[in-house]
Amino acid sequence: MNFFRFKKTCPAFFLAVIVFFLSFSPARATPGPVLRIDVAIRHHRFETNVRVVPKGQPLLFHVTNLGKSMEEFESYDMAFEVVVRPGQTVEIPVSGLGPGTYEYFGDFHPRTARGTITVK
Amino acid sequence: METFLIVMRESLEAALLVGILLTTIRKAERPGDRKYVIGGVAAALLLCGAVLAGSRDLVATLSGPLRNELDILVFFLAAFFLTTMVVWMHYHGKDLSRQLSGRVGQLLDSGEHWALFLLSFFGVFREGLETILFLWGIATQMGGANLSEILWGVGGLIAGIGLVVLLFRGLVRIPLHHFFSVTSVLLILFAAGMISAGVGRLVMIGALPPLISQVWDSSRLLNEHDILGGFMADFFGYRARPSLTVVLTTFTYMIVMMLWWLRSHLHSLRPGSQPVRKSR
Repeated sequence: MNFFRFKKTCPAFFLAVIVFFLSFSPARATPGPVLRIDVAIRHHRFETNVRVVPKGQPLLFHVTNLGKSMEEFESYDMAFEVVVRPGQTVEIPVSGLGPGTYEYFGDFHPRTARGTITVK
Repeated sequence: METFLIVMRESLEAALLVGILLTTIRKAERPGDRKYVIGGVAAALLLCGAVLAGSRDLVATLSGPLRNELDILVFFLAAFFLTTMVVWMHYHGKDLSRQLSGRVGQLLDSGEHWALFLLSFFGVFREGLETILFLWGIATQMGGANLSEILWGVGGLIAGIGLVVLLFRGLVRIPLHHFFSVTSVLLILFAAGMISAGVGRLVMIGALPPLISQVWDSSRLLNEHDILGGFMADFFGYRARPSLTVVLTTFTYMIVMMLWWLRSHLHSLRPGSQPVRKSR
């Protein structure tokens, strides 16, 4: 008995949670033009032109691997994880962020390939 | 050395899930179900190999631009199947599944076969693709240090799988009832981690609002870039700077499942309820 009640209520509950969160979506800050952040990977390090961005600003990471080895461009704070081959360029959109520090790193060379974005 | 650690972590992630599935089947004395797990692993490895041999561009697309969509799908599917698994184990642990009559029992069983197959398939496919790409990247690099790097990688693979084998050799000795309890909690935490990761992705692509972008910052206490923090992040969805949306959804799931777990355990401990079958 217990099982069937669980089976019925559980999906309904999760649906309710999703609807609850989606109802917030229109209330979000109006997305302005996207700010492009160029990141070049060279010698297992990141080179970038942008380190500070305004809050709520939608971002686009434009990551080019200029090195000779494969890299995984990853961030826990911004929740992405993308492999970039040598010579390849990958674009990763990130929605507007609240104030704080956001780290990203190269998962295949985590000691050297590190970078942060500060949102103010 | 870095290669060793990276490959070990990837293979540990994949092997842990497969290890849980295989050990559970063994403890539940359903050796016939083993083929679905092995089938899932084989299918994943074959597909990884086929994709790699067929088209490197496809690998790059799957692990590059399409990676996010694939990940989100895997996270939520895995969370769903892990939850199914916990419920199934609960009934199996109390030996009730045999009493589920006729069609319902069959339905649960056939659904479970798919869950077993897909869980092991996605677990291995996701990590496998990444590991293959990583090793392939090293192999195609020019220079003398590569052979030793590849050996480090193979060593990492063996170490990762070996650790899981050792862990489950120990776990398999635990009496049946406790085994299901321990793995249930482990699987609930696993699933919560998947939800944390999946919801995190949905927030960042703008499908869900963050509510508050960073509720707290515990990176000084436990950092995802340390060994323990990285382990917690990869297995249980730990985030040092989570958004409120991730915190709310993950903890809601965890609390609901833990309450259900506690209730079902109290129920099974109550005098007069069915005695628990002992393991052999």
